[in-house]
Amino acid sequence: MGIDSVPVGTITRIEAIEDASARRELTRLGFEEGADVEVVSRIPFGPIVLQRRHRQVAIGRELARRVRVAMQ
Amino acid sequence: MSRCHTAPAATSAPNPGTAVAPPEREELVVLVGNPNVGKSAIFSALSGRYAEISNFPGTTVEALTGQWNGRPLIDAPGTYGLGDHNEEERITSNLIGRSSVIINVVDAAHLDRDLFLTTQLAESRVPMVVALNLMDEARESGSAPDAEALERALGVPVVPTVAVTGEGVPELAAAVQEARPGTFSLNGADDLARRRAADELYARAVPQEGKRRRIAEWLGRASVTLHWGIPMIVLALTGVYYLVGVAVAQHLVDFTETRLGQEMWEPFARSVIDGIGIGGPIREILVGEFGLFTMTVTYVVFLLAPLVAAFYFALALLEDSGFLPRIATLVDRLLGAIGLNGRAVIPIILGFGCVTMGTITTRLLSTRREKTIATALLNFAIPCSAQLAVIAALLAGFGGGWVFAYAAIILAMLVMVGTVLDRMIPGVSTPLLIELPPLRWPRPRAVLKKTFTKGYWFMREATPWFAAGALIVSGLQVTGGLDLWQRAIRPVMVSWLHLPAESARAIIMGLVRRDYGAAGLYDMGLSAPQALVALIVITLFVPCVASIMVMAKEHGARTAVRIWIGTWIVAFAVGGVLAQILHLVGAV
Repeated sequence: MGIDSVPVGTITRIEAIEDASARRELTRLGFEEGADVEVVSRIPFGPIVLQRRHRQVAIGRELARRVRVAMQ
Repeated sequence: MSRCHTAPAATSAPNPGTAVAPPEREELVVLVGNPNVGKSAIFSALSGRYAEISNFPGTTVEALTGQWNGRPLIDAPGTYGLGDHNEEERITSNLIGRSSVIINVVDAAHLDRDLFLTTQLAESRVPMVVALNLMDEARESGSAPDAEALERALGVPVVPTVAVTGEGVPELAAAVQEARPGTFSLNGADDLARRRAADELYARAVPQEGKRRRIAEWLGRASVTLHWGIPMIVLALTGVYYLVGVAVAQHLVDFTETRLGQEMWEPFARSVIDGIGIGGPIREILVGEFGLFTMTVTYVVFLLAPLVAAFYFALALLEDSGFLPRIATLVDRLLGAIGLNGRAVIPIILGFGCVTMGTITTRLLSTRREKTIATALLNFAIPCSAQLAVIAALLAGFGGGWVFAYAAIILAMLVMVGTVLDRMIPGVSTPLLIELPPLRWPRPRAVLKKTFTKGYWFMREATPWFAAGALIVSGLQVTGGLDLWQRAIRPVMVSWLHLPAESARAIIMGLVRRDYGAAGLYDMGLSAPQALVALIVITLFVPCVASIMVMAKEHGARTAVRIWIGTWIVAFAVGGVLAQILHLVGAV
């Protein structure tokens, strides 16, 4: 499923990023495939905020759908 | 501070007088690092002067050049990696190919991210040193990286620095002499393997049991939720509005523009020109209504300079606190409806201060499509602070209902223009993907320096444009073109907009600056409905000369001309329809 449906406060592992450009950028930022990340915030109909160690990244809802995580 | 712009530090350029020649390969030193790690601070500490261009984090696509020990020093655009992913990466890769030494600036407090680029640089075979910057922050959080461990792993000198205080800068300068190519090698690994190697290196070099900074952590999380984030935004923007929109745009500028500019400087300039005995059209061009020494100087020195300084101050605070990307995150969904993503909120916020400034800031949007939409919104429907002040003064006398009507119409226009452009321009909006830097207190020195430097460079760029605009308008005035124009649009004003004939003059003034046009409506004795129509027209009317010039420079003359013509149509169409409706109900 997409990381957009992961509840806030959950730590989850990114399985695949189905967007080449976003994959490249997220890998540079340290949110690569295989990384364990925490979902910090889900703005209603808006972006998802992810956190790893002490760093955060916000990704738009549509893009978050293409960031795949394992079923819980 | 005083050394910032005065003179290049003691240098011995290889060929004095041909400063534009590309630096020799044996000479060039290039600063490379992620955005926002203090590269510019290192640059100015080494070269003794500030960068030559405004530099919003992650948006510089032009490299900054200076001199250090007689060698050319270039501050490359901030980038997270090398390759051809975007323009920053391409420019940086190209610079590295031409350089003799790389100074890789990394954020000691966020080393995991930065090491991706560092490992790429260590494979470039170009001699390098690493500046482990922001060391004070890393120490504070109890996770200062082990410089020696990094040195061993990378095979290059690693120097801890705090660029803003100058700590470690002499050691860094000395280490550049010892620069050597990195011994690190992944043998052509892909991004994912490199990421994992960087993480491994991070785990070896950085102690993992850092102190938890509870307040900072809570703020970092709360600020990206709706129930905490929205009040924070309101609070921050109210603060910015009072500083820039009220304290400076109204009170300070009122003093500098009216008292110093119009009452002291302009009469003085006129008396000098009259004293020399210059008359006729030349006098008009020099010290007339749109004169080079009167209007241009008043606008540039007494109106623009204080406003610009205030905007850059507020901008530096928002930027350095790490708040802007969080606002962008919170409003991403709203802007999605008009073909933009959250990032676009940054130029729009700045546009309410000064549309010209907002237009420049559209640089930080990633596609041409988004830049065009944001630029159009700014120049169609965002009134700048100076204009807002006049509008508020005019409408407030008629009661809150008229103010509300004005705001509702302008907001509707904003949404409409955005929606139409989103449909018209081919392509789709790009998804938001933005790093959220940690929230922190801005450092006063850094904020002031940023304000001063960016303000200076803005003024230096804008002033010639202003002078050119003034020359054109006073040329028209001297040849009678201005008068002709005014007579030509008179019928439109009277039968279509139901305004007094003299208001055509305000439209002419609005051609130079919209707030000027609004001011021209001031003592015309308009009724409330007439004032509403006139203010709607002048708000939607053509952007000020400086804005058009900036638009042409940033987005090309074609876009600028289209937007300029479009504003004529939209302003008179919307104003006319409004006037006709008000006429039907018997208000005008």
